[in-house]
Amino acid sequence: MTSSRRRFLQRSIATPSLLGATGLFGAPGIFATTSGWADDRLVPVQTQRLHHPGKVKSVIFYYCYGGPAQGHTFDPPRRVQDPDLHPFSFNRSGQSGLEISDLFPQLQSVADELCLIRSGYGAKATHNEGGQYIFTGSSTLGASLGAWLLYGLGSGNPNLPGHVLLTGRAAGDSWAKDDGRVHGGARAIGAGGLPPSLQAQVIRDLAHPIENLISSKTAADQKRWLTELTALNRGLAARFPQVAELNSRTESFETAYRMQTAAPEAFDISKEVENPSIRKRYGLDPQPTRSTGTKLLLARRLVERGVRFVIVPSMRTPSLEGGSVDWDTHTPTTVRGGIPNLAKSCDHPLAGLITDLKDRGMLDQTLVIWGGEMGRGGNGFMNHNGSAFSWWLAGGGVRGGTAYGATDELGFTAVEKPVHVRDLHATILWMSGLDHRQLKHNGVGFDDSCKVATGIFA
Amino acid sequence: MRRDAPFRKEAEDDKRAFYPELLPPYVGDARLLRRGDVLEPDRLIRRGYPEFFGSGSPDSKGSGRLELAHWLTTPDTIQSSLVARAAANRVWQHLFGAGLCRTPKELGRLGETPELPALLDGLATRFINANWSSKSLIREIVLSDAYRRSAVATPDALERDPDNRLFTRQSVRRLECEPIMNTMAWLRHGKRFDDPQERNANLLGYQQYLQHFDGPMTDDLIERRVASISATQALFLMNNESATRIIASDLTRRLSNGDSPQLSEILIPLYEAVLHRPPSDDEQRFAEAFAKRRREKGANNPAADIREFIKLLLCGNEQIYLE
Repeated sequence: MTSSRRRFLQRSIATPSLLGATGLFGAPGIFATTSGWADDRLVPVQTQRLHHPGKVKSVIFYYCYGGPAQGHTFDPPRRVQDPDLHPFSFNRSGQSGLEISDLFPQLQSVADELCLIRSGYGAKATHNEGGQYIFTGSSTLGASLGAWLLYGLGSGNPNLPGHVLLTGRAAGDSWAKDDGRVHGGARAIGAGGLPPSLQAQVIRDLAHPIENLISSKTAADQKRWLTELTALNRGLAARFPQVAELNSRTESFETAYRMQTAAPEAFDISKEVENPSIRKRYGLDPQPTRSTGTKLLLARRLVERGVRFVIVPSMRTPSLEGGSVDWDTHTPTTVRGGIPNLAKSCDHPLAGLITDLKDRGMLDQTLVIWGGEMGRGGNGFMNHNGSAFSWWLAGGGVRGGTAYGATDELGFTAVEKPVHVRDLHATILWMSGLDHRQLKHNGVGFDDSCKVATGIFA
Repeated sequence: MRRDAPFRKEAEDDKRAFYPELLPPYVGDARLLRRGDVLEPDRLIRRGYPEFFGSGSPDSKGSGRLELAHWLTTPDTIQSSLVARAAANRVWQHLFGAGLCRTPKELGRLGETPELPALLDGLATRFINANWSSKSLIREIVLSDAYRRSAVATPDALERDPDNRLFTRQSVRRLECEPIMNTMAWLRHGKRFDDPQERNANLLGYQQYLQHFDGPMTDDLIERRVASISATQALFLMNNESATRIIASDLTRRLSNGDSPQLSEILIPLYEAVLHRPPSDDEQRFAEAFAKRRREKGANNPAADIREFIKLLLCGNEQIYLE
């Protein structure tokens, strides 16, 4: 019985990996015990065969919806055209003396973990296309970075989606004005030409992260039912062997079945939030950080369980000058009134996440990213700009306490060590032990001209 | 709706303050705003046609939309041929799953070159000549040999044209959200709902359909629908009462006609109702084995067999994939 169950599990991994779906892969130390089958403790059979040694096992991406102004956050311009439009001061922080805006006091305190990338370029200066481009590196249909990472590393836990977008609000949050989302919609987080099961799973409601988890059938009946469904679908799949989607859809039912037990456990933060130090660390009580903190805590739990790529999008926040804003700050009013609150909602929880990952010994294998779909430029950094944007990375073996690259005097164009969006993708994959030149699937692959910005991590 | 409930008040407050559509409409030329600030209005800018088409400003009374429409469709102009090509390409995309030009939003230099440009031009020309009739455009395409080709690919065709760039076969693709909802409502009630609102009212949990099957967002202009596959979609069909179970019960009741037939006795009308074709011999054997397995498990309830079998078909791929 046990062996057939194992066979069933092995057959039904929804996420193919470099080695094909022939075994159960897990990041070291991650056991898929959440399946509820105590006798099926899934110790990873082997570690991944990577292209080269890599540290990153998972990524948590805090995505700033709207394109944050680098000149007000992590890249102080050396010359400003209109001082009135630059209301925020910068300070050297940490031992490294990284210059970070005073809007991020907590991140300043973990500055020595951060690698500021100030020379990002090649972003698309419109939101929807920009969102799609920043995640997929393509304006048409492309595989998103999360899908590639999941493709390359394989699933770290077959019972959970490996690629997740966390939206929704925490209970009692009256601060955030929306649930958070990504520009570009489903295409930004899609699988492109990779197997569709690699696209991000969107979590819409944190209280009920995944709906319809309760089955009226017993586990045994459900398993039999799944066998029947597979048999039923066989006809169509045989007629159209070229359509990978059909198999992915059959597999999605098997993933769904396993998710019924694994997901409630992974998303249940009730035990953790009893711990006052966790509450404090992630800022679960103050209104501005409540939802973001909750999502980052969830992201940490998911990453602990082997989820490869978690996107936590920023939410609309109230502006100090009335109304609400996202990072698309086009006017002096939204700069003045909006950016402080947008910073406030992520500063404390992100610093808490980095500290927490460090304390748990997970920071080395978890890459935390902060960034939006583009940068900003023009007077007061109020316009869209694809020629310069700032991201920062922490963990996963990045060089903490460094600033990589630089923009021109005004901060509008990346001039020193410029990193293209696609170079960033290649670099992140490289840090995970994956060589973008070798990642190929059905004719879908990376541009060979992508450069790996080794200075970020070595 | 449910998710927004706790925030309704904030949303309302927000709307009153910031949604311009709730203010009395202003129709006319707009002012330049200095530094983008509404508090620093500058000179009035006249409305005009996009400069890259050659400029010009219409004498517009009212909103100017009528003038814009006339301008867009003026015969023998660059703009009208672009509009016609774009429209023909979208109709083709809707019927084939992909456009003749694969980047439907971008038919210019930034997009992909279509493999069959003459075909696109021909369709666009005839579209204009037929007085911009979408109906005749659609008719021309669906009556074509290309449209009526099978989706089955020969090994040779797969070798030569793996991505079907030349439309040598039909594409296998998932239905969009609305046809899925139409089908489900039809299966539940045995009748067609032409009015989407009426359909939604007769389909329990219609919002979940929109959510799980990529229903369109009204605030996002998209040139192409996506069809996602996800485990939550599967959970919805598998475990949600309203998704499949209630539909299966209602359909079972209708098919049974007051009797209590065995699954095998009504298999043909069942397949015809759900998949619009009779079952194959293999499928008949499969259904018999299905009922037999259930009996062996101790279940002796033909109606439940039928219900469960319908549920299985509703979760199956053929139900929501076009071939």
